Amino acid sequence: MTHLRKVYVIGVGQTAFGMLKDDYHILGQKAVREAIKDAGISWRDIQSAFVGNGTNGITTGQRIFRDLGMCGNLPIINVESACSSGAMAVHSASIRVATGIDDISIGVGSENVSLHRESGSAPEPGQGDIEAFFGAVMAAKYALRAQRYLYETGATVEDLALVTIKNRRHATHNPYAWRKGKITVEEVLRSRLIATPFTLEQCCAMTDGAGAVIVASENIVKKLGISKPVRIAASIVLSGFFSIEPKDETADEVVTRGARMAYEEAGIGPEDIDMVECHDAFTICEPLYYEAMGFCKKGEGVSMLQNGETTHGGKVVFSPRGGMLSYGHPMGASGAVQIVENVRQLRGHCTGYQVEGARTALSQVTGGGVHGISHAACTTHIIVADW
Amino acid sequence: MDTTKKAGQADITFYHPDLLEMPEKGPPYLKGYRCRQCGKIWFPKFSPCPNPDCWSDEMEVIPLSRRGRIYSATDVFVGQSSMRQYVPLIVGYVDLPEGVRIFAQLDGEIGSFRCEDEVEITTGPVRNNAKGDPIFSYKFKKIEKKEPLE
Repeated sequence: MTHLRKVYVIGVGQTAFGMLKDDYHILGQKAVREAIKDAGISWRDIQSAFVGNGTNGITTGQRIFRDLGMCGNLPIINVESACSSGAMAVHSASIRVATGIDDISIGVGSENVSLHRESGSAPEPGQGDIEAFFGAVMAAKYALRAQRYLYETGATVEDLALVTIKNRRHATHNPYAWRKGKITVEEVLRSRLIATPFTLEQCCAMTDGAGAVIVASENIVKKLGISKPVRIAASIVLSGFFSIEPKDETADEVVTRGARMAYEEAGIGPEDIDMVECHDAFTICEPLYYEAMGFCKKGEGVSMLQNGETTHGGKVVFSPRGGMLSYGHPMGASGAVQIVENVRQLRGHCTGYQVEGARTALSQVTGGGVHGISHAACTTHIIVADW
Repeated sequence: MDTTKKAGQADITFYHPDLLEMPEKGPPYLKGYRCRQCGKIWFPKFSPCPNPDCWSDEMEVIPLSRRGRIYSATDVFVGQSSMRQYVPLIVGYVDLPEGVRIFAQLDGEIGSFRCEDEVEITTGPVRNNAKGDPIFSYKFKKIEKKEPLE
């Protein structure tokens, strides 16, 4: 859309992830302050704020900005679509800049799950959902996709374990990641069963954390004298179509559609993407999304993984930060933090886990399990090194 | 109507008259909702018809097939607190010939269900209500293998 202005990321911030004692608003404040510091601007320069949160209640954004003394000085808009919330906040902030309403806006994702959730209870789709009534926790819904994938492709659970091994290895030197380092196939498969074929170590943890992304117009980038600006080349938000009919759970219509639209908006294809942070909430997600986003043909996801094409030195590095399998997945935070990490990668700031020469990065996060809809939301962003 | 409202909170013991018919004579069946205007079949109950080019309020109940095929199945070892005593839970997607996919609990042995297995409807407790009493609803079980003819 040529009539829209270019949008750049000028500042990013995040907390370390894990089961944290600070509640969501404190985590959000930490990320916001780090992003403002990183951008080298004053809090006064931020003209609007969008805050993604999934489960911590109402007016979460105002609570974050109140304690920073910023409330009242800017419109604060809370956005929610379960796991997509944080990315949706960044999307909303970028629209505000693209359309010329603001020159600087901030998208925040923040969540504290562990302080508010009964230990050992599995996250489920929305209340009132018929599938949730019969026990469709998210792990079960993804397990059904995995079972079918294994049935159709002949891949094994040992193959899926390779995703955990790769992502934990990627995260080894990432100070923000939680579960990281060496883990073996045996250790992954020996951990307790969650939903066949998933064992515990094939599932993202329900963690806490926050991320913040400050976006700005080209004139701000020039004014600040940023020599290595990162541009948002595509920002796509979609919802899945509603159908009660049988559909192919080893494909993902809305993820494919989101990726295609993002490639079109950015004017590049999957072959041009250097790295990806995807919604790897469960091991199956990676091979499934390699295929859905066009990084390989359908059914070839596992061989792409086995051949090392999605790690450092491969065709495209998936989950260099360690993904959700290392960070855990605080609903509201994940989508924003994926973008934070992608920006840091393009800037070359990820010592110990840097994707060498990365100039294009994609992030993809789905959100929400609603009966009849593959995903309630799917958010896809492509950022590029604009120098 | 949202038949799932307050499900699990209230003291219901049957879920739900809009979904499941248990005739005095004859086996139970699921209730499909066919739009009289566009002909589309829905499950569970929707009114108006969710087809955005239709939105008709004229929906008629039709019995759905009692047999279907498993698209995928999994044994689940975690659950919401009100379902703890039902864990491990076997769940799956069952595809009915009417072109309807149903997420349902499966009655049988852990690890015994495979993709493309044929199943038929049955009933049983699926979770507890707020009082701790079981709620009965539909489930699916494997079709018993017929004895070969002599």
